[in-house]
Amino acid sequence: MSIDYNKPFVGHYIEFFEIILTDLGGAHHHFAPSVDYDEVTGATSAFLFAGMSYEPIPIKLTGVVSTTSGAPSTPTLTISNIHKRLMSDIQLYDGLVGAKVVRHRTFSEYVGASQEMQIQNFLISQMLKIDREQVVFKLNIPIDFEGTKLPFRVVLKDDGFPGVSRNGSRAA
Amino acid sequence: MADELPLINKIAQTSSHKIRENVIGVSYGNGYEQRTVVGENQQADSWSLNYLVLDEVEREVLLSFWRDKGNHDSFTWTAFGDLFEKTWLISGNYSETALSGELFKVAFSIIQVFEL
Repeated sequence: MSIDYNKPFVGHYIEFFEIILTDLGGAHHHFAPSVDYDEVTGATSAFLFAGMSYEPIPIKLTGVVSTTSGAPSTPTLTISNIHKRLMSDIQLYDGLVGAKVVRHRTFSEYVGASQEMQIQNFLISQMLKIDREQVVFKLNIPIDFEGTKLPFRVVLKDDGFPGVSRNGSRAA
Repeated sequence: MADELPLINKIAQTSSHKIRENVIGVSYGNGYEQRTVVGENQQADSWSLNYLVLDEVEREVLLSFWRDKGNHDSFTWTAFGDLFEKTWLISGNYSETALSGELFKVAFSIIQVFEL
């Protein structure tokens, strides 16, 4: 895939998503904002990637910015609410707070080979808005949670850190 | 099975066809450009259909079809020059002109949609 980065055109840019509610006790949704369209026969079918069928629904992720300073970005995920697809889940699982969102990205030429760019993981931190047309969620990257601790122990100023000396000599 | 566009033999040759595609491109420096189409269903046809001389029965068939489909329900049609039927949605208003007491001119636009 990387060898094609220099080409002027490498197919349609495609995004598709997973919304994973299994940790909350719910379902594992696969959503894509498009359907597969056969330009020879005109037939349509659900978008397929790596053997998985993605349900077509208007869905978009915006505000994904990588930065080395300041607060991490908080993207927003917008999903159509025209057919109330997620309403029951939203009511059952507290606005889907804590649900995992996986963003997949690829180009149409690589769909058949199931090749994609590195996936991006997010967690739903808040439901920002719900109306007749859409549901908007605020997302966090998984490490952007206040109070989150590194596994096993908390690094404290007074205790120092193994291998780090405050007086110039290494602790035994 | 979606309904079919009625009275296709009455569509006038003044009808027009357009294709749109949403492409984003970047060209910096000395002008080398890279392009992509965002999404799979971004190349869609549209037609402005004209029915020039319809009698009252034909006009009623078309009007009933429009009232049934509105701007919300899709239908199928094999457009002129196409080899297979596509799925369409009426876009915008139904427009008709009375040419005489019994003859009518009708026009409306349709856009291609992608549905399962």
